Amino acid sequence: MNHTTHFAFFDEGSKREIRRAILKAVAIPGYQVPFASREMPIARGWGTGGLQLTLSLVGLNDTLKVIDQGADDSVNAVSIKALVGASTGIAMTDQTSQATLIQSRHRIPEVPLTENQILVLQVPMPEPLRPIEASEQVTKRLHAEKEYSGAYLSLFEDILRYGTMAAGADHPVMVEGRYVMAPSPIPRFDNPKLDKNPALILLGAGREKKIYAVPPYTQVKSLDFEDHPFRVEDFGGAHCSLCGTQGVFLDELYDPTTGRTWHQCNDTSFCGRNAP
Amino acid sequence: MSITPFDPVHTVQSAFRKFLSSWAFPGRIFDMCAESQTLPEDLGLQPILVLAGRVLLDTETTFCVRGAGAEQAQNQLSRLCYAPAKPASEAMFLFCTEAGPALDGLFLEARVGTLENPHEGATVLAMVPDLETGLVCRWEGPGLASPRVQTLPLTFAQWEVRNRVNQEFPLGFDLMFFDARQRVMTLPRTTRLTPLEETSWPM
Repeated sequence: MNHTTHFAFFDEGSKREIRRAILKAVAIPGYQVPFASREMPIARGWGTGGLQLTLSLVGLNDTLKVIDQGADDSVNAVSIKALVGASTGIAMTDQTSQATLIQSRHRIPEVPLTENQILVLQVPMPEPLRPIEASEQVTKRLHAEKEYSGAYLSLFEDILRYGTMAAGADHPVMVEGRYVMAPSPIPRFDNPKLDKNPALILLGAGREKKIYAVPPYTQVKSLDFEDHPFRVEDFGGAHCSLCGTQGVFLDELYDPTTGRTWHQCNDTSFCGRNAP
Repeated sequence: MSITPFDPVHTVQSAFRKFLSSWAFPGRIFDMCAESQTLPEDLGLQPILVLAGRVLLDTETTFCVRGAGAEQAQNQLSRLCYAPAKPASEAMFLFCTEAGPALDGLFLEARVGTLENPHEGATVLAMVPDLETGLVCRWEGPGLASPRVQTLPLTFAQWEVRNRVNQEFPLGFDLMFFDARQRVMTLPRTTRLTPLEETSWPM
């Protein structure tokens, strides 16, 4: 019996179907293109959508970087790299600037992306209107009619309750003035990086069977109000305890015995490059 | 230049990535010689159209071919890729072997999708004499860092039809242009074109 697997795990028919969906997603920025999401050797919710995109894109000349919440060496990232590596033999890297293909769970790297890179984001909940409308049929109609008052109302209720728009991540965005899109649960800090980014950004939701895209240099604006403008997280002048960098997305760490808190860069490869 | 044999996995992947780049960066020209020259089949079609079939078509989608030698090409592409041929008004991929009246007809027949399912708008794959000859336009939209003046390989009349059909975004069709030098350029429905002069290009 022949035990060799296909290059990049998938059969060519599966890749072709996903590739056709990717092209239409690029042609209609922010619109969720349905696709026949495959069973994967990792559980739904662990990046099957992003993984299917990566496997349909990857070629022998690619260099892949995978990050999970900013870390190159967490379980999810390592498992995905192991699968892609075993089924393709391509080079892996931790360095953002060396990667041609970057699969990410919930972060956009701190190092600016270029036109020669593709960023694949894993998406658990692609429908930004789902919290206000359970029916897929209805949300499709709302997108068709560009009826987004529910999305704004949801933010307005946040302001009434908390005095500010409270979403820590997945703050909805308007893409090219047409579609409201869930930017995957990236922190608000990363939302501005979507706007006019030179790289192609593809988003894949395996469980929800949707692919969508932000083409390079596409206008992406976080939803907000004139009197309550969108704001990114404020770290109050804190800096990374390892590399000293300010102005990047920081994790707050806490020592329960001493009560001391300190910060570290969330993007581990960025931090490692800057650390003394 | 050494030519590697056609590989249904790696050649197709390489071609797809160039196609994807051409969709992501409208108006940029990508050379597909390395991929199209490896094709073993001679279907009487330009190799780059056959390559596009190998990348995009299978049993799960539909296509049609118009222009010179269309019937034979359609039968052969269908046998090669196992894709069912359908009338232009129903097909997802519309191949056109020439840039003349056959292409005009496809623009009017192409599916534009629905407001709820705009991804069902067709993709027109048109063979043109030269990607860099035609109507000079100002290009703007996603994929373009700033507005750019560039040639569109269509006539003024064809530009008008494309504009009219695609005016209600997200409804519309997407266009891939190929030329005999085995190059590709894409015009997705998002790209806004403004002709700088009302000249038509005799084809």
